[in-house]
Amino acid sequence: MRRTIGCVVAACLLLAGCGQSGGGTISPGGAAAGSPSGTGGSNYGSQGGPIVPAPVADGRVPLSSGAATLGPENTLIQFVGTHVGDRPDPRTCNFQKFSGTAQLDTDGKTLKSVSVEIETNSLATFHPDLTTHLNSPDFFDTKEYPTAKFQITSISAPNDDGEVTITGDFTLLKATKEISFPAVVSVNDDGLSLKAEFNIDRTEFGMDRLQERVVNTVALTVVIGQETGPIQTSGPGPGSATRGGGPGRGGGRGPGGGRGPGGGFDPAAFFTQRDADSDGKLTGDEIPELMRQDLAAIDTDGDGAISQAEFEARMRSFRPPGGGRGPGGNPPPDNDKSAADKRPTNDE
Amino acid sequence: MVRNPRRCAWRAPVVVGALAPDEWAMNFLVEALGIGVAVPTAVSLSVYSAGVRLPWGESCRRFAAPMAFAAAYCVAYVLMPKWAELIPSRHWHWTLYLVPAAAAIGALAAIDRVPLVVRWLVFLLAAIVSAWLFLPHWLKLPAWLAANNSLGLTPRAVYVPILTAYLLAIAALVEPLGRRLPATSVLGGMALTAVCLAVFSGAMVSVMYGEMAMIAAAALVGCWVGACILPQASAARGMSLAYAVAVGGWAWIGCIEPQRPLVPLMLVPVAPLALWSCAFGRPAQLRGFKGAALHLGAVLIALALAAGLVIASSALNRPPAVEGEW
Repeated sequence: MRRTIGCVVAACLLLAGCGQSGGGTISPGGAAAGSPSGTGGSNYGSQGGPIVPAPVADGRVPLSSGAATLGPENTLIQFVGTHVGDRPDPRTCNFQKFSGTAQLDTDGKTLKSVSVEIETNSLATFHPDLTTHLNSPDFFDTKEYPTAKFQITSISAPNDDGEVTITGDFTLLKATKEISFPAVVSVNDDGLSLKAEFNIDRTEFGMDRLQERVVNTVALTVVIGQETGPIQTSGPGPGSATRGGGPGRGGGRGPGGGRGPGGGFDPAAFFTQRDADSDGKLTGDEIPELMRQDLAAIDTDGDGAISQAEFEARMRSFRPPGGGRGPGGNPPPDNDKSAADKRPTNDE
Repeated sequence: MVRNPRRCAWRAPVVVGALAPDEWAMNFLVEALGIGVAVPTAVSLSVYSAGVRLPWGESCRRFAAPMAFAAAYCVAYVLMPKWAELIPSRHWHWTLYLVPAAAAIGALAAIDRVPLVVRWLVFLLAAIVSAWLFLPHWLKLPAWLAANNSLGLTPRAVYVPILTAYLLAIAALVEPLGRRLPATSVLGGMALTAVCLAVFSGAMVSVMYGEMAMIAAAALVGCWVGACILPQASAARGMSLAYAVAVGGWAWIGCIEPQRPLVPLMLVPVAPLALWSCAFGRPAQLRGFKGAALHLGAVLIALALAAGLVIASSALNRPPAVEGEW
């Protein structure tokens, strides 16, 4: 009998202990003005380990023989989903692994085509549970559909503002749909830049689960090497401007974006948190998943571990000179209407 | 009363944007609680009640619970929206066919005149077929094995035997419990376990998988309630294979889905084996409230341990929250 009672108590303690560790911390201090979910801190990949923010190149993507190679190092593919109801709580996510090419016309002045293939299981959010759920069959079903593709089929002539309308085939889950959206494209001797913000209806691609919780309209932002202005940060420490205002950190777009007091990503604090055995180095599982994949480049002294200096050097390499503002933060919330609704939809 | 479009256009695509958010919420409730819980419970209870009243003797009555379980699972599955496809294109779609097949085969194999060896061979065959069909095309070898795969093993060569052994073990070890313990205890243990699995699947893997696993759980609850109302000594004897394929199968499906497999989830369907601790001596003779409390208590303890491991595993796989993250 004593043994039975002991087992029950042990199980209860185990359950209670595990329950406490669940869920992410919510800190209003990290929220940016104009965004209820403005976030600071690191990102998490679908593999479960923290991942570093995807760098956004300042300026343009250089061209070689009229073509540019696209990847996370120079391009941002970000989407924002919002919840149904009075609290939209926008959730910003981006893809960490994708590849593509942009091809110029023979005149070398206009964009001719862009094709991108995205590894859907590289989607990253600021909350591991959310990342896990987005990977599940309820949303991206990344095990069954590991890739998404976009291929431009036509680009209209630019209007007076230099804005073009891009039309292309977007393949997500098992559906391929033609979508059109406005974009600002610029090509010059320095390279190519593109910025597009538009909405898609996730249900058109068969992503029709949980419509009672999550708005069907998803706001997409695609930026190819666009130069951005400085960010107004007030986070602690010199390292707080790591792509501030980028996906999930900014509060809305335009003036006022940025993180609120107490927010911001602190590489030193993050390093300390990861360093479970406090030996001053990240080893084994302490190394974030995506850093592990690029360990050879980060581990400059070749000891198989990442020191704090190496870690911070890596983080600095992502920071745009002068502290860049990422292209678009979370759309500002609207109690009655999803912020995403304010963007042009495919139909519009 | 909000009209449910799925009732109007059976399994038809829902018109996007036609419903207000509160209507979607109602729609989800209808889907999850109505089709996912109420329908299978009612169907299994009805079929069981009808089955035990048929005037064809004991040999007929022992089929009541497996048939009730199979009917309830199939009816609820078919009523689910179109993502629960009738023609299998995903591994978990096969449950629509494997569960009733396992119920029928398991009930036949559980007849007393069938030799034990034959019964186990039937279970083995059913487990192999189920394991083969439950294996998704995207499943890969674990990294450590892929790195040292000198034998050139394929994922199917590795996982089919493992899953076969798992399903066979559950079916073969649960089956004798139906002969040693009251049917209400065995069916109750199965039902509690299935509910626990459905909750974990929905909370930690996918809401959709949770809904589907809940169908099996609700069908088992219907059988359990039926056995409580209309007790039949043999009610649980033919259920083991159907239980193994349905509940064990959904545990497998939920285990392999996350980026990091949630292996402890596969411990949950094993919980009814805790009834073996009560299968001998005086505990096996206990009936009524005391017997049910003892038997189900054993299952609940096993479930608590399995649940602890599932939660701990999920928490360990999750990276630490960063200060000020949200």
